[in-house]
Amino acid sequence: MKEFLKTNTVTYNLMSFTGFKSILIFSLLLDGPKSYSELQEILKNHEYLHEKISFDTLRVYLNSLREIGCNVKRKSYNGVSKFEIDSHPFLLKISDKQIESIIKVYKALTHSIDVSDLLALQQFFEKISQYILNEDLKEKLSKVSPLYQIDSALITDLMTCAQNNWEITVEYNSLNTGNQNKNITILADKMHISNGKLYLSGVNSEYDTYASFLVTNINNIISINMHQKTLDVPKITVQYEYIKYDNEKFELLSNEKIINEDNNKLTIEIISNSKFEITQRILSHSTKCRVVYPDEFKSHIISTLKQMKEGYIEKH
Amino acid sequence: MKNTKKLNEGCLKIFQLLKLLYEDEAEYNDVTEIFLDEEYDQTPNNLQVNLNKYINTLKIFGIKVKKERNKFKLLSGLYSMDFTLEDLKSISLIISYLNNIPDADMTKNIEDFLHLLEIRMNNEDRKTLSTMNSNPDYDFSFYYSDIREQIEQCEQICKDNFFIVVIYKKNGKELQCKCTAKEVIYNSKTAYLKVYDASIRQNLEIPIENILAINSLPQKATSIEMSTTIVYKLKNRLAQTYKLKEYEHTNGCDEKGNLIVVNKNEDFDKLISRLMRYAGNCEVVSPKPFREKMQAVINETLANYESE
Repeated sequence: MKEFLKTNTVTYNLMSFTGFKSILIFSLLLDGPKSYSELQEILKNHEYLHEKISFDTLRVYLNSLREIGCNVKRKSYNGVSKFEIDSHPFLLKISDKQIESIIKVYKALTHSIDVSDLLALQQFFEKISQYILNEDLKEKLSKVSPLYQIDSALITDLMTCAQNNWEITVEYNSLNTGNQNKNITILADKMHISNGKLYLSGVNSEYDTYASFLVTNINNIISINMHQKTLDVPKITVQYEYIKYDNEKFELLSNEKIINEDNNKLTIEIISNSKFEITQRILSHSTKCRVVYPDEFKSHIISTLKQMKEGYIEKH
Repeated sequence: MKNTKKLNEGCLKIFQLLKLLYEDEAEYNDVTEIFLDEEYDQTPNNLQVNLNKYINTLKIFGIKVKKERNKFKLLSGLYSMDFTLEDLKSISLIISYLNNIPDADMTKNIEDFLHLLEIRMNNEDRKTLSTMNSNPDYDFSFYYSDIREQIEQCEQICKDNFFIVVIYKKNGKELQCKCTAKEVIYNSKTAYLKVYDASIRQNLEIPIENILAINSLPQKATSIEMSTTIVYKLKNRLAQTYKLKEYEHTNGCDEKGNLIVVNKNEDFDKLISRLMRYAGNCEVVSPKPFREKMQAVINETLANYESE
């Protein structure tokens, strides 16, 4: 359209001026509340219009916008009556089928992406969810992310601390000790999701041990020591055997590698700072897995299994 | 009573056109219907000129319209939504994941959703999104690629909704079950066919790569399900921190403070693997056969260390 607009002489034959004014009024009201006088002024000074429009004509335009489904509201601002558009028929409408498919993809993605991307994805879907009318699906979508109901500002701050290996003191709701709101100092290492829950892992300065802290139990960060410290934590190396069935696809974790493969028997090495993480991994493999190294960890798994067995002995 | 409210015809016409465009239903005949003059005869030429005037008006506002196979398509819209750079990265992530999903219906649904977003983006956002390369940290391209055809077949079987007999491999053995196919689940790097087996009242999630054959029976599947309910309790700290899964609810805590969890519809093998992770903090309560199965798994795992 530039070819006939650049001269500022608009050819009536090539466009609809009524249509032009309609969209202009719609856009102006969408931007914010405007009074009749303000609308009149803008249209009068518009570079292509230069047209004085009466209040009655403006009223007809507003009625027409209402007719096509715009919710044009009249409100008083400091005693001046102004009009604005609350909603209109061109707002995003997401169908149930689309949301169901989105939920499927979102669920699959939560297993495959890191915490920062997951947080961005969650915030994106939170923004989009205002356009979902089906309340059940809206709720389902909101609960897909393991970060659901965790303060996103806290996650962002903890991520920054972990990326920089900063030492932080947090107020922690320690359920282990029954000591609520205990202050813990942690040399932050990484944020990760395990079994659908978000953890901050790092060195607990009090005990000088590597541990994972449930982020939902962190009330707030009390202080941050921004001097980057070297995270010098002894890593635990465990080797285990895994019996694989014929066409089974074994999914290695990023901290695992296959060190030997003998027919269906895999020998896998896992290295981690966290004994808890390795224990969970080994137990989840149940009957197909046997720890071979080191003896100390093997004994730990045996005693854990014995304890589990004990739990099933009926007490009369 | 007759409505005497005065309306502006040109205003109504341009917004009716926009409505059709936004709903992706702007077939040429429906569009020309808007611009037909009821009082005067119009030649097709006049009608086209009139229509062009309105399309030109949209263009002045940056609203791009393309005519494709007798239908007008909206390429950019009347207003733009605010998207942050993080939003655009998320959209880009969805696009790169979508490129590898074999399910045509799911892909179509999400593509339609992405189109709705795209026509509500300003030029700058659209440009930024188009220049975003797929995130180098993730390579979804190998996911499901070797079982693409099987996934498509499973999706079709779910839609057909007949009773089926699935023959599949589990723990090195060939098994078969008569069941109804529910959905294809994409989990991490594996796709599963979720089925309901009425004979054992269980939902099973069978890795698609383990399926050897699926035979459809002539009988239509029913939607009635009587899944087995598993009840387990969680102890100590886990009882306080546990986050219920979407197919779970709780009956609260017992007198010792253990959390009682009621689980329906989770695949038994996956549930056992998950509960094993909880070690001594978990105990299956009912039903008895599942409690015994859990005990057997613990004993069998312990037996791996018998010689120690």
